[in-house]
Amino acid sequence: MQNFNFKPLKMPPDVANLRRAVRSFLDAELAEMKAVDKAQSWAGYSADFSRKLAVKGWVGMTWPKALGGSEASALHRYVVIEELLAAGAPVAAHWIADRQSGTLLVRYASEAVQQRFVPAMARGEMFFCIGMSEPNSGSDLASIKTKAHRVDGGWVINGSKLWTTNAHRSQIMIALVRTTPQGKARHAGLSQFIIDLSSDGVKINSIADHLGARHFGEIFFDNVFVSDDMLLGAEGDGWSQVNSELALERSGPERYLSSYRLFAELLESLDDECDDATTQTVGEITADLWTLRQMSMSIAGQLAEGSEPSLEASMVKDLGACFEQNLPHSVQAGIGASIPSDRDSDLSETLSYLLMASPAFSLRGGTREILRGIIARGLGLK
Amino acid sequence: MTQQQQLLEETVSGLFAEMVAPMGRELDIDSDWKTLTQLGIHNIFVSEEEGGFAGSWQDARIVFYHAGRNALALPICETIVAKKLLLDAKIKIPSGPLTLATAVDSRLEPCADGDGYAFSGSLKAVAWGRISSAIVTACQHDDNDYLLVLSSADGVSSGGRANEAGEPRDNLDFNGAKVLAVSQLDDAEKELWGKAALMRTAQMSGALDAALEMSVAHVKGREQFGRPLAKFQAIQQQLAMLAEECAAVNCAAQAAALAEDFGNSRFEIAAAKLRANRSVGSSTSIAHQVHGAIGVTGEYNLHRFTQRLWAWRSEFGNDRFWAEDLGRQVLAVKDGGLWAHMTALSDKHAEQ
Repeated sequence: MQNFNFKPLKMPPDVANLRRAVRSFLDAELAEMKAVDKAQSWAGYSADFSRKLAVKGWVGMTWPKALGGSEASALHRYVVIEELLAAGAPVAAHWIADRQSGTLLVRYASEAVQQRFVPAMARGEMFFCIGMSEPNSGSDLASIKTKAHRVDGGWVINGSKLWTTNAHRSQIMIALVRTTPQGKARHAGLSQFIIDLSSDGVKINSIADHLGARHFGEIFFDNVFVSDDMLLGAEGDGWSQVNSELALERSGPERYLSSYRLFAELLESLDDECDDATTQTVGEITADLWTLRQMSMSIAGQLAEGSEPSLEASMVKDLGACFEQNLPHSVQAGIGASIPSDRDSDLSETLSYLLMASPAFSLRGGTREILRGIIARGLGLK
Repeated sequence: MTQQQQLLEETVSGLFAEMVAPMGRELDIDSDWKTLTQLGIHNIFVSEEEGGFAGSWQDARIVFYHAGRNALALPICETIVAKKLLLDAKIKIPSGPLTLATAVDSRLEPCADGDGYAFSGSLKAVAWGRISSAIVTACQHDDNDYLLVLSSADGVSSGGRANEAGEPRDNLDFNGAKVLAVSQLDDAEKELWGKAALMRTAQMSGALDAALEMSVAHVKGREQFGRPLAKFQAIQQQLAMLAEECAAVNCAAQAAALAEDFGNSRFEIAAAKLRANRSVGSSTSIAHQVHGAIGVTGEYNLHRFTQRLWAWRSEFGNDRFWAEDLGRQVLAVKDGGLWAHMTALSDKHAEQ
């Protein structure tokens, strides 16, 4: 049987200083921010905040200095992003560029392409989105229909992408598209392209969610030309590139901290004289939170060592999403004796928001069912 | 894992598997105990000069895990933890299997002849009480906390039903029994209870992994509707959830052991034991469900692990105990709140 590796992580020696610096920056920057806005967590969008964060050197930290990064370790970056999330900072604008797109470019793109994009990403000025899902391809990603065909000097892309986070607020997309028609090997013939969303033939519509918020959208490609150097990595290697990208995407602290603001608000509303049932709820949530943090840190440590713990990352994402989704229900169920029921409080407003926002937590970045399928494969059941 | 830890893991996993074979064989407190002690497994924390391993809690966790994973029915884990408590308190260690328990209605008094102390009180559900040579327990006297060692033979048995897995849990009453040794230790009972909870957490992690392993093997081999159960999505999804629970508890146990090596790990132990306890219901349910009727037969070995999980969930702190303990710790945090507290704890383990 497959053994899962969750060895504990020892943080690098100087993280306490880095934490202090990030916290003092955030204390000042977020002082006026409402609790319910902080509760948006990594869906909270502020291009202005992203630029300020970049000035501090906390965007693209691990990237080469020649490209505007600071060649910091992955664990130092981990400390920064968990502090951002715990504080409820509005990180959405640069989040995807920082988490995966920049790393992909550093890994696969030519030097000229890197110079064109990465320094601007590290300055918090150029934002990326990920083109994966399509109208008829959700969990079954390999069935995508958007395709690119070769023309003189490059490629022409046709098709559409859907549910793309911040499609309407990003300059660039990294899209997975078909470069050869689907044959027997479903995962073959897929490639990744860098697409400038200001190109001719690109049309973008944002989509309102059930809260009225516009954080995702649809993108149409009508004969969109991209030059040869916009092919990311090797032609036909898209599937394996996307899968190693998913290890970066699935294990971070954003996979268990999306509801943390509600827990923080709950704790602020309580004093140490609270009733036994509420005390127990606090203990239970804390045990899950602490365990998930240990798991997430363990994976960060393994990624930093150059391993690719994709299976473990799927486990953290699924457990984390369940935790984030259960948290609002636990708080709602406990309202009464010690947990205040004032509907105008920050606590109540945060609770309402997360009750409604949380169903998406087990959809975005890979559904619960897909993740469990990956784990089952790891167990040798498929 | 260090090279030394890998060696320890290979040794104990091989040894324990060999000892319990064929599974269900009743282990013998003389010959089997001798096998364990000849290899020094009980001396994980003892210094190298005294023939031990000079190990850490992270090392001991490896032994606890494999004891759980093999359902090893001897008090090796209890002995290791009892020895550690005595070593830390600089108390001379009695020979033979040791165990640990907390006392109710207890009293510690100087002996009438002025030589040493006498203990009166009841120890309930003492793990392996009847086959242990000595018991480590805690007691208050004159507003101070003490850690002390009692000779098991001085206790009068007042029953005690075995736990769900059939492991002895004996009630022993002491009435003015002379203590073998005693040492003042602040929060002695809390210390004992916390370390024992860490031990059980690691054992539970081993038992969970064994249940997962058996479940995976079973669904691969058993066919229904013309194909292995493993090929049904309903089964795959269930076992993925079980694997996640195994991973979570394993990670929690390892992280708590690391924290204990740095001292002051009440927070981490509370979180880890609570997380382990909370996994028991769903995990044992999934393991049995995918097995069907064979899993509840006496002949099949799944129950050796699920019974232990049901038992150990209650031992050294059930869900309610640790949820209130942890909840109170969190509510008592003042400066910067839970997040600052939790990160300060893990930053303390930063590599120097």
